[in-house]
Amino acid sequence: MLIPVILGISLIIFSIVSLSPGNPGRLSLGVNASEEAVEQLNRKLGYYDPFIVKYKNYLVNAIQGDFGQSYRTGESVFSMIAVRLPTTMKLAMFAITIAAVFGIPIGILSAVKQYSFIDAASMVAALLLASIPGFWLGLILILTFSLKLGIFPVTGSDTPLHYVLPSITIAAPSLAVIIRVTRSTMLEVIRQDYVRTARSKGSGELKIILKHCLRNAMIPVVTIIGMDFGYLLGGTIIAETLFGMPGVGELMVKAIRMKDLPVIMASVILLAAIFCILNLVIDIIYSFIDPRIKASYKT
Amino acid sequence: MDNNKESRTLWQGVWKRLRKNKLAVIGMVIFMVMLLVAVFADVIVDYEQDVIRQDSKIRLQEPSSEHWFGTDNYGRDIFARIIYGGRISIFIGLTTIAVSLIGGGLVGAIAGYYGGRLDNLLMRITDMFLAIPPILLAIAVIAAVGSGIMNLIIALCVSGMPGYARLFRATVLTLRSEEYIEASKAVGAKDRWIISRHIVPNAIGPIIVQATLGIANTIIAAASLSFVGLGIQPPDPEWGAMLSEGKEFMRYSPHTVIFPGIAIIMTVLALNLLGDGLRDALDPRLKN
Repeated sequence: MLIPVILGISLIIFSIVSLSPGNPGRLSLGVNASEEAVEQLNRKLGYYDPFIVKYKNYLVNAIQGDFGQSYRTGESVFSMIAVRLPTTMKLAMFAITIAAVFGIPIGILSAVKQYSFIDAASMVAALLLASIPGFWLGLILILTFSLKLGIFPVTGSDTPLHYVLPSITIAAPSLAVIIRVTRSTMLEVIRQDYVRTARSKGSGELKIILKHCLRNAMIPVVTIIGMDFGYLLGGTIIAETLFGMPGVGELMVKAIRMKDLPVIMASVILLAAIFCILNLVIDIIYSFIDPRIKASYKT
Repeated sequence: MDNNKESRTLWQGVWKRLRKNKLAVIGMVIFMVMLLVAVFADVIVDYEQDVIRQDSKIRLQEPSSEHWFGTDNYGRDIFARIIYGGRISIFIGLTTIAVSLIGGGLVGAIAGYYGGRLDNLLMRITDMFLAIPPILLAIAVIAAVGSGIMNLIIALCVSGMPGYARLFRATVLTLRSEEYIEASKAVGAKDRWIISRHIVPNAIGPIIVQATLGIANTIIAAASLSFVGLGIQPPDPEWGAMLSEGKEFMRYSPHTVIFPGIAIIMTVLALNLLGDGLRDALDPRLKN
């Protein structure tokens, strides 16, 4: 299923970006170039080919790792992205880790102690985190921790310290979602019969929560983490721009401003493909969390 | 007659439960106020005088009795700009969700109603769109059509529609197989009666909830895109664009970023509270 989906994505993105006005010759040579030079480059790039042929050529080249050249610098788009991808992936991974490491325990705690002060406080926190736009949180973090207190650097990506504020910025909305989903699934699971059975046979409370409840509550949580990764990529784009980190998102935003279509197309397709692969990985993780899913495939 | 009475009591029940939920009421009131302020923005402040006109003599002033939220880098009153910004943000939120609902709803309802091959085709296409993270889809559209309010709305609609198509289809499919629909058909009710009396009242709940939360998410998305320079362009007073301008000066004039941010948070929080409250009110079983 993965390959047709990625093909479909590439077709959608290719069609949308192709709607863009202007021809590649003019866009890469600039307004001062002569008509002939523009014409020549357009022919060379296959601008006059029918849409299907253009898409086929793009796809065939893309599979071989050739996403064309940047209109601006003439650099290979693939290597431009490859250089920047690690920064983006690191940011996304740090962010999802922060969101999961804090979100899951907070969610469990507020479910176990439903209606307590902790529960109320974490629900308010989740609601606030979901309503604060990531970039504003980023601005406030910069304002307090970089400009006023001077603990973290403002821009760049040279040291691990550079990643702290952007990761928190990106993690915030996902943290909110994970807290809420963990809490609500835990609340459902806690009422199940097997939990009562575990209690009546005298298992320790901690063991019940971690072994019987958490494992059963993890499926929706893991699904949400996977789905949220898409939003997380969005957050990464914003955070990279805000914190001046050289990642794919920042590249993409710059490329749009400069109408550098090959760069935009390739970045969007590659990030969307990564998102799909990640969700496939999550499907596989399911069967480890819940053996019932694996069993249902076998029969 | 009886039917009429029943459908009224359904909504009366929802309203009664919603009213008991203090947070939801607060959210609703805040959003209503924001909506009114946005509609009557031109009565409250003078667009040319306060929102657009630049005055370097009073740039970056702290909040005062004259300029409640201070002034920005060009000496424009931030309070006035936030009022007008609300008009833009709420307009984008409402329009996007309305268009996405209608577009996505049509696709989803057609797919769900006719089923078979058409359903398969439409849903595979929808799945492809859903596989692309919404912000990336919006960015691809902006790359093609450029920035500006209308283009931003188009971009957000394209990324919002597939989700609603799925939601509508799922709703239509569940309802189609409900027994009361079958019963209604069995006693000879016409399609129009079934749709207006059974399908719409039952389908509308979850959709209202999704739409309310959707407006909140759209406002954040629009502000984020404007913030990185892909949405509303200065000098238009959109909240995200204001933050983008203000961030250059925030070290010494933090009010340039604090107030527009609070405006976004208030609006989004109000919509989230209202959406959550509506969800609980429409389906009392969900509340533990």
